[in-house]
Amino acid sequence: MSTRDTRQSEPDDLHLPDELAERLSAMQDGRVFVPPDVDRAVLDAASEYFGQEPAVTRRLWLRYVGPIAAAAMIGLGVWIAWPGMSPKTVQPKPVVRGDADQNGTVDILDAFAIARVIDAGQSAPPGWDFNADGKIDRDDVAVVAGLAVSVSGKADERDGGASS
Amino acid sequence: MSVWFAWFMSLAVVFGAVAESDVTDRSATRFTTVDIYLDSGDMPLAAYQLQFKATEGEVKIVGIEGGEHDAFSEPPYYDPEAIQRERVIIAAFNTSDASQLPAGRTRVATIHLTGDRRNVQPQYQLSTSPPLRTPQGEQDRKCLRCRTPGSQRHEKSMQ
Repeated sequence: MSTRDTRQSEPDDLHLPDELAERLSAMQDGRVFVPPDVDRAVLDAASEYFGQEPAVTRRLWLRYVGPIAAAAMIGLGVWIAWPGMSPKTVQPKPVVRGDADQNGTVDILDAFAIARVIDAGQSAPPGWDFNADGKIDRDDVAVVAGLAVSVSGKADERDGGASS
Repeated sequence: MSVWFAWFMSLAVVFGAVAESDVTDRSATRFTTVDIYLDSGDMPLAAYQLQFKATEGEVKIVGIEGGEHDAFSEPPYYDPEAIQRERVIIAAFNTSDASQLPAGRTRVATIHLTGDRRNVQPQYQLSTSPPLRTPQGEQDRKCLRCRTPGSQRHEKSMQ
C-alpha cells in the first residue's frame, strides 16, 4: 500500500523540458574569447610559479639532507657503542636438558614432576622425552634424576637405586 | 603441582650427620658411616636433594645406603662417579600418598666412607643442592657442618 503511494507521488519523467534543454546546449556551443595578452600573462605567471617553486623547495631539502644523515649516523653509532644503550638482543632462553619444570635448573623435582605425571596416567609434554626414545616413561625419570645428581657430567649413564 | 611438591619446597629441614662408627680397625684404613637425617616436621616428606662433602681429612665415599622408612629405603639417586671421591649429591622422591610417606625426623640415607685414621679428624658439610625454596620461591642457602665420630649429635634447623 505504502509502495504504491510513493510511486504516485514521484514524477514519472525527470527529463528537462525540450525548450530549456535546447537553450542550455546552445550556450555551450559558443567559445569564450580571451585576449592574447591576458592569455600570455596567465601562462607566464603559471610557468613562473610552477617552474621555479619546486626548484626552490628541492634545493632547501637537499641543503639539509647531508647534515641530517650525518647526525643520524653519529647518533646511531653512539647508541650502539654506548654501554647499555645498544639494541638489546633478545636471547632465547637456553634449553636445559632435563629441566622439566623449566625453572632453569635440573634437580630432583624435575624427575619428581615427570614421575607424578606418569603415575597419574596423564599425558606428558613431548619435551619430556629426555632420552629421545619416542616415549615418556620411567627411563626419562632416571635420566633427569641422573642429571640432577651429576657431579661428573656423565649423568646419562648413572645407575644406582631410586625411590619410586 | 600437588601439595606434596609444595611441602617439599617448604620443608623445615633438620640435617644430622650422626652415628658415625668405626667398622674396621685392623689397619690405618678406617671405614665409617654417616647417617643423613632429615626432619620435615609434621609434613610428609616426598622428595629431597642434598650435597654431602668431606671438607677435612682424607675421606672417600665408598657406598650409599637408603633410609629407614619404606618410602626411602632404596638407595637414593647419586652419580657413581662420586664413589671414591669426597663429594656426592644424593636425591630421592616418592610419589605415594601422604599416609605412606615419612614425617618428622627420619634417616634418609647412610653414606659409607673410608679414610686414613692417622689423619686429622674428618669434617663434613651438608647442604641442600639446589637450595631449598619456600613456596614463594625464596631460596635458603644455609648449609650445615656435620660432626665426626664420637661427637654428640649435631642438628641444626634450616627453617
